[in-house]
Amino acid sequence: MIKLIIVIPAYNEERSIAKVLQSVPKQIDGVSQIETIVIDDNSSDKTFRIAKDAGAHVVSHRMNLGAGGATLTGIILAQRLEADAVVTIDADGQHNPLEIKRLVQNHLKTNADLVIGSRFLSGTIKKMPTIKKIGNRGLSYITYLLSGKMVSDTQSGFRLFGSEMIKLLATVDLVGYEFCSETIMIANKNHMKIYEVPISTIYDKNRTGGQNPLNGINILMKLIYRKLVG
Amino acid sequence: MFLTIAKIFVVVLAILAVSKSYISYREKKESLAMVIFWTFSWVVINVVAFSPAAVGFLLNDLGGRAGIGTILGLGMVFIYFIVYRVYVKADRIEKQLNKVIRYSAINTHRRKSRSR
Repeated sequence: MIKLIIVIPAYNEERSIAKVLQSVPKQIDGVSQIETIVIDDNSSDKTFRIAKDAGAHVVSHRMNLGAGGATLTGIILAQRLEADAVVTIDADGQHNPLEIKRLVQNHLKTNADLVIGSRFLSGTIKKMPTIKKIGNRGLSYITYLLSGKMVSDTQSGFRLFGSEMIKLLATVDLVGYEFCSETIMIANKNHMKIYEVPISTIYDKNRTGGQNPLNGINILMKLIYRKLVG
Repeated sequence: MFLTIAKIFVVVLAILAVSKSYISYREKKESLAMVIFWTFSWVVINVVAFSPAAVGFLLNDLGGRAGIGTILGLGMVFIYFIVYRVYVKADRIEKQLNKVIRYSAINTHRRKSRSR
């Protein structure tokens, strides 16, 4: 039996955070304890208060560090709370929290250190806007070139990190949007087992969040720089 | 035609850079000295863009034999080096800032959890 911590990075998500928190499974086979951490990434709305009232651990950044930076804060806190596994999930409601079970079951079954929920392995990918699809595919190929590991959806924020990955990530300095690709590079470099499972995605046309397609250039520059500098 | 486009491009870039610097000054994010420095730099860049012969005069005055191509090449290498240094420093500062924000948030959370 393992202790599972759900990490939810959130920036101005007052509309969706309560629903996401309510939908997190309360029981999963093979899991003895489930806790939730919300990283409020310097929101200007009521995200902090709503998450707090929903009973989650809430950590608040004094400055916006971006999704990657907020996720890493959650993973480090989860390590301090003695988590055996961490699942990260977006706060905007694009992921189905009920699918956390699928990630956990695959982790327990395959013993994978990093389980990635892939939007490209499920039918819902058809609904992804074309520009995002191209950007995601491009970054997946770049990650493959830099890491040697082919993953269908390197930019997915719906993931499970096993205990070895948690320990590893707590010791590295990762920032910004390159977090998603870089964790794959780190995992592969350290001979960690990576496994992908299909996940469904809900695309809300009214939602204005998500990555700016131009961030792909920033990610590319950072990844090359980190590859060269180490 | 190409030269005209290049000159327009330099002017637009200069206007963007100087106005951005001035706005930062108005918002008290930048000092007056920096605004003057950037304005002067962009004026020089525009002078060179519109009358490259000015560089030739300068070379003759200095008694150098290097051609304008050599000077431009060296300039490109220098600019690339500056961009690299700025990138390295920005990356380092970003990492340090992330660390400070992260551990401050975690420690605040732990303190509050203990006091409950």
